[in-house]
Amino acid sequence: MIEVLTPRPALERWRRRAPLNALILTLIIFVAVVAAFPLAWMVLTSLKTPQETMSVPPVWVPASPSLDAYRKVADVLSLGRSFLNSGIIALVTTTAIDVTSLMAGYAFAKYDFRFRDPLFAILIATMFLPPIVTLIPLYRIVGYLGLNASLAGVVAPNLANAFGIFLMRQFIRGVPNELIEAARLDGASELRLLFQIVAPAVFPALAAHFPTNMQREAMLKFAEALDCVSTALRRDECGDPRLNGRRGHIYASPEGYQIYVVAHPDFNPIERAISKLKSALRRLAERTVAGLFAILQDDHDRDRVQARAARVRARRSSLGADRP
Amino acid sequence: MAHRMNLPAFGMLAPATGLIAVFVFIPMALTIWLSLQAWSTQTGFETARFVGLQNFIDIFGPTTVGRDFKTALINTAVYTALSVAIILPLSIAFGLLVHQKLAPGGVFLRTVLFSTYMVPMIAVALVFSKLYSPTEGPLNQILQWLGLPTSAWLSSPQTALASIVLLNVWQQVGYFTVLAVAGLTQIPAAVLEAATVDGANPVQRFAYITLPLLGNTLLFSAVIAIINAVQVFEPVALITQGGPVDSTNVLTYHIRRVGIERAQGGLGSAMAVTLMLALVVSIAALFAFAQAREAGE
Repeated sequence: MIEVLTPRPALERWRRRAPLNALILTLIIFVAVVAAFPLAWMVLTSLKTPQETMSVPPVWVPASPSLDAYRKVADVLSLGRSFLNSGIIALVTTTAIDVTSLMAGYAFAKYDFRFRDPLFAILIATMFLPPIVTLIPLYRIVGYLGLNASLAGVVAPNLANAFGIFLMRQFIRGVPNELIEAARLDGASELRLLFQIVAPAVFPALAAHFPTNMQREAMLKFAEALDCVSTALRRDECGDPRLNGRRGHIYASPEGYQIYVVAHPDFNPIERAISKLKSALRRLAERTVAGLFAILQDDHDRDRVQARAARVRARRSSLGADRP
Repeated sequence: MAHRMNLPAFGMLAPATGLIAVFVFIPMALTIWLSLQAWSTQTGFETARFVGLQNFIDIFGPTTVGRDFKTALINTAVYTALSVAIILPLSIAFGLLVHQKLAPGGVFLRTVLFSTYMVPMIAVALVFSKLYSPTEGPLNQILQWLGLPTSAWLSSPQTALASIVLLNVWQQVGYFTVLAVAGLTQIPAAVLEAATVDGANPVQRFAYITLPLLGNTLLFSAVIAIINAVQVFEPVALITQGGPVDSTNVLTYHIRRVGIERAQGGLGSAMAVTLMLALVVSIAALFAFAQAREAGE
């Protein structure tokens, strides 16, 4: 009996499982190497000379790595303007999607109104609509709105989207009703309630989910899909005249292969703007994370919720008393 | 919140709904309307002329228009089927590798896989066009080292579409792996332990416990994968422009070419409507299949 109960020494357990562990580890390394290979090739090639990029058989590691290609990028593209354009598009669309989705998500999560569920279903259905389906009329609608050949024409169709509404609704449903009711009893207007009570409560969750999901799904993808429209819309807005204003021409230019480093994540203005935004969101999250935990833990504890509502009320009235 | 709040709800919904109405619903309705018209994209909507179902008859007819469209439709269908059939099993396999606790490196693998998903498509397209290069590309060189036959990749009509599928798999599998891991973590450990106690081996545990419990995750993954695959546009536009010999001419690219470049707005809209219907039918079929499976259990 005693022998059976004695825990098996860790070493022996390890030895028994070693072949399986080694197999799993080998698989992990193999998959990781295959997945990382194109990325590594991209970085290596950006350091090669033009001759090396064209040689047969291919050169794997450049003989004398140089940053010439990165310097040439500045000659071929007017980087300042392109970065500015991408930054404007990224910031304006992301901010607008944030605000419009927050408002609509709040209405769907916490209001009861006629046709709520059918309306939500119809909006969500647009998530599954390929952008190409709306492209041809969109091309003319943007023209009717007088937004041709301007950044506004790229930004305007991207100020709201169904995915953002869906995401916000899911998060806002987790905010306790008591918190909202308490603020409402204090006479907070609906907009103030949304931005001062609900938004801070969902921001930590958003900081974690929003950038990765939204940035990929909503912004980059749609901005890229809009490239079709953009041949007409952005002629004067994007980059160097030698590229005819079309981002698409970057890859087709004679020095094409050298230029692709522009699109490396570190060089992509959209990604950079997003990472700025991410860190800003994270800072916000840090400030309110304790608050969020309190909310989550107190969810079912009405006494403490009401105590907090009373505290909020007290703080509100003291703030109000401070005002002249 | 029992009381009805029509007015504030209207205010809260107005910005998002208004924008989506102007830039999604109205264009969608116009697309459906335009699919029944003869209309040049370069002119105003008032020049559209009603032609009934003629556009649909044309795109499914025996003329060049019809042949090109049917090629694009088949290419998109093949591309979608291949992508989903490769991505879903791979995502589960990689998900198991990330999720397992025996060997180290799971989180590292997830990071590497997901990083490919974060690379912008323009960079992916350029790198892969170089990787695939038959003479100066490293892929053929590796195949030679391994003693395998080399491939023409993007330059042959037989292999071009499959090469684009491979590119797509490489870029997207990380995202679906993360979804699979999320599904795997939701499977209660107690169920798997119970199966182990009952003497189930790892293969049986996977086939009879893990896989069925991943059903909802797989359904979601399949829907997203189908939608992504049907929308493929960038790699085709950036690398192959539909060639060689239309072998990679997918629907999205073809619709843009007909509807915008050739300004045949009516024909392009009819193709877009067909694409939309095909998507609705396939996703509805997928959900029906999932429901039938659930009901059968």
